[in-house]
This record gives sequence, C-alpha cells and structure tokens, in this order.
Amino acid sequence: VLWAIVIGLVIRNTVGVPALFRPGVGTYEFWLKIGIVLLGARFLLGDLAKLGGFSLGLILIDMAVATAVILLVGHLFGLGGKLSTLLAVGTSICGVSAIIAGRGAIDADDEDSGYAIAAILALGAVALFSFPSIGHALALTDIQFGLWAGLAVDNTAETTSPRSLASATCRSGRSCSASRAWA
Amino acid sequence: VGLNFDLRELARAGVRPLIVAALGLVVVAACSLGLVLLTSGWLTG
Repeated sequence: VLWAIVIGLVIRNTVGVPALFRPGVGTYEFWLKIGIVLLGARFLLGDLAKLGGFSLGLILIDMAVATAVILLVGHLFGLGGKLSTLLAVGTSICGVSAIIAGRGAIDADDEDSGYAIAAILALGAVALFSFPSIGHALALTDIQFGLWAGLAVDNTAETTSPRSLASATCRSGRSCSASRAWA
Repeated sequence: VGLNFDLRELARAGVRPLIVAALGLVVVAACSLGLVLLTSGWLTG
C-alpha cells in the first residue's frame, strides 16, 4: 500500500495523470471505502485476543495519550481541527489506513488527508532507521522491542522492518504483529 | 491516494503540520517505551 501511494505520488507530481485516466482516478474514494471494509473483515477478534491481549491495554493507554497531545499541540500551532485529527489518528492508531478511514468519518478534504499521509510516511521512514538503534542502545529484549515497535511505529510495513533490523530472533516474534493488529 | 496528492499544495501548508506529527511520534515512542519497560517484568514472568 505504501509503495502504491508513493509511486502514485511521484507520477502525479512529475509526469502528471493523463486526461484519459482522470475520471477513473477520481473514483478512488469508492475503492478506499471497499478496502476499509475488507481490512476489517480480515481480523477475527478471537485471533487478536490469542495474539496479544496484553498489548490491547498498552495500546489503549498509548492512543489516549498520543491523541490528546497531538490535538493539543495542533491547536497550539494553529492547525485546523480536521488536519490535527488526521495527524492524531495516523500517529496514534495505524498510519495511512487510519487516516484514510478517519478522512471519511470527519469529511476532511484532499489537502488535509494528503498532508497527513505525507507526514506519516516521512516519519515512518525516520522510525525505520532510528528505532533499531534506540532499541540496541537501551538493550531491549526481542519481546520488548517488538512490542515497542508495534505500539509506536505508525504503519505495519515500517513496524516490521525495524523489527527485522533489530534482531534475527525478533523476526519470528509475535509482539509486533499483535500490537499492529490491535492498532 | 497518491495520484490525487499534489506536493505543491503540501508545500503551501508549511512545516507546522510536520512538526506536530513529529512531536506526536516522539510522544508515542516515549509513552510506549515507558509502558513496555514498566511492564517488562510481567511480560517475562
């Protein structure tokens, strides 16, 4: 999903979208909604409980704190309520997917959702390289690092990569998956 | 989403939203790290 968005962004801002394809591209919201429904259909609550019931408590606390802080800072920086909300859900819940879902819920415009997605992607790239170093510096165990990356890194793709960079053993761990799935 | 995203509009919005999102990531990272370290005894036990 991330690569599809990045490739589309590059095409739009370099060669542009040919007029022939613009009507089709304009239908993207319909396909987004279909995708969100299918995303929800992938998860069975029982499976999630088996994977990481413990991480649910942690992520609820994490989401509440992060959402409150981002909305407050966004207000202090003079950002619009919808952009702050999209940044909050993108950062505290699950990155691009959450922004796409939240966009429909609050009826945000293209500019706000596009900016929120770009910010989340940029920060995800920063996390990709910084989290393994921090994990090593703090001597986190595989379980601790997996849980931390799953809670803190916005997108599943960026969560999996630092986990793999941090430890070969951690690749087989379930903490990241559990935290991301809950998110 | 990507094909509908105009970088020139992003540039017009300035750096403030990026700063807010970056602060959010720092808060999330710090908060979640604290929670993980606080509960590590329970995790390993």
